[in-house]
Amino acid sequence: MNKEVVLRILFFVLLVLLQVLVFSNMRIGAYVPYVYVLFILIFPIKSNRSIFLFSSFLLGLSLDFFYSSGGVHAAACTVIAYIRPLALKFSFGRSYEFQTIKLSKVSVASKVAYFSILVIVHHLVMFLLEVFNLSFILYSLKNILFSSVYTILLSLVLVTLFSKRKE
Amino acid sequence: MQQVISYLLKKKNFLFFILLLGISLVLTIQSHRYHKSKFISAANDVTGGLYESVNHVNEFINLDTYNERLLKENARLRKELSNYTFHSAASDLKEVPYNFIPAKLIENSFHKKNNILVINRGAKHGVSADMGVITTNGIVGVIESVGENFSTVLSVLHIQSQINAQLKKTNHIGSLKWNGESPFKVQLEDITKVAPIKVNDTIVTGNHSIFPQGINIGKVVKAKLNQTQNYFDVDVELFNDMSNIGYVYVVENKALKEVDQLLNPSQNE
Repeated sequence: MNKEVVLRILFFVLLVLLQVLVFSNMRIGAYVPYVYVLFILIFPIKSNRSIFLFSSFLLGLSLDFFYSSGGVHAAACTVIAYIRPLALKFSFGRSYEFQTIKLSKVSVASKVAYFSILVIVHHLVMFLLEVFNLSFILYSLKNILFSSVYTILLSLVLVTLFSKRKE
Repeated sequence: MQQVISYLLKKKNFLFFILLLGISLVLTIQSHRYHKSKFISAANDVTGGLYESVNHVNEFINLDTYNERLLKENARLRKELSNYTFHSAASDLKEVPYNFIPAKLIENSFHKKNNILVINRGAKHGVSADMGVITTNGIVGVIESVGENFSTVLSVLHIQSQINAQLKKTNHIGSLKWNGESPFKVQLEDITKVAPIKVNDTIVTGNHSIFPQGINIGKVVKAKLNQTQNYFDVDVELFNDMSNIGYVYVVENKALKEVDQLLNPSQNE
């Protein structure tokens, strides 16, 4: 149990560093992948909800420090952490609570659905708050669409790579 | 009472969520206000230190460009200096109201709508909020928040950026903003229609600003009258390549405080 907590904290730090140092520079045009949301996507399902909410908030806040962006990432992360049960229910069916889901074992379609819902909501909150101005709505929508696709693809690739290694 | 407590306990996750969301929204709204010292910014030692160590690696790639830029600037300054000693008394030098602090840009950003940069100089080196940041080629932005060793810069490529600018030839003033589209082009507004503005005219900083007057900004690529037919909407191509900046100067306007005091005597007690 204790080991798991330490590992999770290390994963947290690793993802923040990777996001700031690597993924931020993997820009295609103006679109940056925000792969750090993986922390929230693959957080253990059966953990304490308050701790989950709080660590997601902290994750977003750390990114805000690096990007000097106020509380934009923190808000987006808190929102997706809160709605995650809904996304789980939608993509894996009502029974997700009773069985342990291994991302390497679920069908590709439900995995894509699960990732897409959370990533798109995250980007939606983030980009709308970032500009905070309806006259840039077109920019925001374009950014939400393309960055989401990029983030989803990259996250899926990473998850597939890492879950294969374990087996 | 018990019911209330048990209700609250049942809803504790929701309440916690609302609390965290509230905090992040307050921080977001605060960050959208200009002229407010910011709590969440990269001007601290942890983020700044990390950016700086990564920058050490990146710097090697661009050393050639930076060297060439420095040489050109040196040449230009030498030329100006030779003119200067001919035409005016050396005692004028003491009255220069500007102080220049050299700094290195350690984190650049130009692809967002709200671009914030980080430099490796802070309060310790005399940087404070609202100072201008320039390079040899032109302006970069304005200091936003200041930490001990690092500061953040509100880039000219920020939709809230607003800089006093003018035509080099005729002194018609306007304000420089960014519409968020191209990182190479900014917009100059409020130039009156009587101004003889043409493509390729140079735009420089105006005199009521934190920058010294006459710092290059860019050249006009398109000018047309706006809907009211009284003012020009001008597209200005920046002289600076905002994607490759490197070394910058922070400009301290020593006279600014005095001017501020004269303009708003009530605010400075």
